[in-house]
Amino acid sequence: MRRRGLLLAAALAAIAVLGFLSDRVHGEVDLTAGHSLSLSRQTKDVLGQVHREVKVTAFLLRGDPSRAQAASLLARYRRRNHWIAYRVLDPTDTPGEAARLDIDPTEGGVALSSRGQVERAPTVTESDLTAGIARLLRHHPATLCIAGGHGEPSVEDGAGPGLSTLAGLLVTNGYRLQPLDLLVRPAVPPGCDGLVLVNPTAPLGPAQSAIADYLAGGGRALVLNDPASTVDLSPLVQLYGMTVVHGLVLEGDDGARLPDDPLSPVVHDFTSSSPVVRHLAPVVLPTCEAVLTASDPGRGLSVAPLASTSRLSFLSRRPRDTGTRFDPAVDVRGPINVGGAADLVANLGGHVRRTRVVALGDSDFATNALVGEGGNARLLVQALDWLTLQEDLVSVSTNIPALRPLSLTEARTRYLRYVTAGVVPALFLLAGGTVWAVRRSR
Amino acid sequence: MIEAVRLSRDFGGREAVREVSFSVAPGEVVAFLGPNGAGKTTTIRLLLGLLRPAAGRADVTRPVGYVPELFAGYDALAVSSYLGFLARMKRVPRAEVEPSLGAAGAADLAGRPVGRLSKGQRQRVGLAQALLGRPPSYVLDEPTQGLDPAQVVEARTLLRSLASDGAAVLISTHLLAEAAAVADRVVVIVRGRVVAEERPGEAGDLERRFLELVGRGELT
Amino acid sequence: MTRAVVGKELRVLWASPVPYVVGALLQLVLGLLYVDQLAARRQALFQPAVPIAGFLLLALTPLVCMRAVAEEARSGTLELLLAVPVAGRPLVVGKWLAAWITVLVVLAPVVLFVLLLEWFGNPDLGPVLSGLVGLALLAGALAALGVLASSLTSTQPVAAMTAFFVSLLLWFAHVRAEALSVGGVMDRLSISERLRGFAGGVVDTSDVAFFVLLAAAALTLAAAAVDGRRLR
Repeated sequence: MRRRGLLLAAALAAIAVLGFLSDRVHGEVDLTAGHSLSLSRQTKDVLGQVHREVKVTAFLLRGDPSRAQAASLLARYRRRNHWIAYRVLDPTDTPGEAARLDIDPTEGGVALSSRGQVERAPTVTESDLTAGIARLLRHHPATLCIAGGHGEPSVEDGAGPGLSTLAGLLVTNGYRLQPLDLLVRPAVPPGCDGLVLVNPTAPLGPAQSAIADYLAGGGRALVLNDPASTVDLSPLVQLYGMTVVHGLVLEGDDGARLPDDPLSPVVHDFTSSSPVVRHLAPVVLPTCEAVLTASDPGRGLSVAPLASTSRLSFLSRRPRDTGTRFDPAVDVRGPINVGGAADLVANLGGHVRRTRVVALGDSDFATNALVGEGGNARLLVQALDWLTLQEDLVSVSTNIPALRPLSLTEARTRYLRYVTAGVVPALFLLAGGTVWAVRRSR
Repeated sequence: MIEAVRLSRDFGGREAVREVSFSVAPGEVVAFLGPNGAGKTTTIRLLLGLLRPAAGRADVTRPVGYVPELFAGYDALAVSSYLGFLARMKRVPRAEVEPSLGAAGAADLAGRPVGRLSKGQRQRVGLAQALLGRPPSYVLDEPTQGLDPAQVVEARTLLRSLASDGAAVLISTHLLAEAAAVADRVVVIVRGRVVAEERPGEAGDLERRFLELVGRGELT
Repeated sequence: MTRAVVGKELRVLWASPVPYVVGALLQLVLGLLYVDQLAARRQALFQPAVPIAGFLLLALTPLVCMRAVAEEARSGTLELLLAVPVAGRPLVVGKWLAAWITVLVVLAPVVLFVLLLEWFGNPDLGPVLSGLVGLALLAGALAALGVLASSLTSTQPVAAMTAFFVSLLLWFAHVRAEALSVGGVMDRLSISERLRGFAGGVVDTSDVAFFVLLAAAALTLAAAAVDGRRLR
């Protein structure tokens, strides 16, 4: 009797231990078509770096329909990494807690805290949460200086050609933005962790040497050229093994451009292993020019081509004259390389000075009108993360399930109801009745 | 061989059987006789291992054919399926089903649903189930209850033939005539104790002797 | 031996009205609620059917399982088997398998939903598959709980109510945990939370293990309870 009790207790204990282990060591298979329920790779990367407790407090009204989804998302984070602890609170129940974490109780939101540091995010979505955790992981926010004064689009401009969306995305990803007017004061301050130069339309003048000096001293820059501008940025990037070739890329492959628009290539081909283009969705680059990368860049410098257009594309050198026609005399056959990433390491006996430059042949893709397309936003954030040596920080674009419309007319709905709630139950009852009748007759 | 050695058992302080000892040798039919509530069924359950004795021990050569006091079956099954299922449980070939039914006088019932059997038919099917595999021991709780006179005679003949094939057969009954007719020995139990153990022929008039024992049992 | 128990149980169970009534009820309520969801969402999703079917199984599986051991104990057949002696484990496992198979058969017409979705739209078959796997696992765990409840009593309604109550507690285990805890144990015990992943299209090994181990624990206890009826 006693032995039986012990055996039973041992069996139950073994089951409990297995349960515990299966919770700790587990894998998952996402069967959805777009892997829409899995945490994105970037989230997993970020979670892989959490080695201390991160408390996530989500404030959502009890009636909020997204509450259950938020809890399940947070549970997935926790399951991935047990350092993540979470609570879902109703801000009206816990106004003190909301105030302490500086969350507006009427708006709700998420507070992420670790070792006294608190980060906030507006919604309980994967992109906000992961970016928040990434901010917590970093000790201080990197400062991005946004070059201005020579006709560049503004980060405050909310219209189509402006950069306000990009600015918001960068702030969400933990960057501090500092606009510079290089016309008034042609110098890049030492506090800039990275410089963003987007399509200047007026000659840079003294600003050009200021930028060159900044880069030579171990600076980091994202340089977005554009065929629409006559300003030649080649001198800035040539030192780092890249050349901007003016012209206009015309895409002939229907599968690699926006519908019927040869001027808007959609780049799928990221042959490089550079982290800038890792796991990137296709990028839409309307009206872009070529960026060539040196094959033998020299000592301490490595240059990676980032993206190229299709074989059916070409670079038209004189689009005004030839239109969309290929001119074998001057034009360049595809694929055309449209971006490069350069990394120059100089050993200064004692410390290493590192200059990084990313140059792309287009700037429109970063504007409010287009930054939301495809992998555009992610390309920008990944480029800046790489430039500022923060490859762990990412722009999280969550896996979004495809819409699967159901063509349901009134008649079809009635039909569905009739079959599922009428015919099927009736068949069960009929089968039961038949069995009963047969048994009775025996 | 069926042997009870000083078996005792109580339920929540109330004594059910006390130091019950008797044995049934191979080739012997022993009647376990007693008034209702005397402890017959408790003793049988102790013998079968369904109850744990508080003291003493039970030795029964397994497997054992058991007919419970109340027939137990699955109403939805046909008699042959019911016996087929029990054959599997007893690890006995299914081919045994038919001869067992025949021996219990229930061959005609094979296709009938268990739920539609009369009391006598149930008793015969119950007996057939105990015969599966022809075990060396039988414990039968009121096996002739509900049978008509002809069937009672047949059942008694069957019990005798089991014994003459070398099995140890214990039948519990409250019918004196039954005990006298079929048993080699009679063990009388009253209020949880064995008060007498004798051969029906020796004691002369079994009925008078039983009443005497019961009366004595009730006085003590 | 287990196979013989399964065969006998299936015959006994399907000769009773229980599976037919349970099937009719399940499909009726599921059909009505699911079609409402489809009409509201206008998306070819199987996902909403999973929690609805899961909750219905919670209520209906105990009805399929309630007779498993309780009825045998009441009618005396259990005593007959224990006297043989038959061990608790093959008996309980056989009964559980039969109950599980029965619930799966009763649930099977949900495949019709998938055909209808295919007809009127283009559903993602991944979540359909994982949802079905999740429901099958849930049915297995609930059947084991039902058999356990049935092994603890000789009264069928008591068995059904006990199983339903315990399943209900497990279904809502996360509700308080979510508000209170910082990832306590309770939210890991919630069968509805476990089902959610399957419904969406994710098969997590820990969720699979949860249902399998829940069933294993319930069956271990049930076998012990049956063995405990011998030598009391």
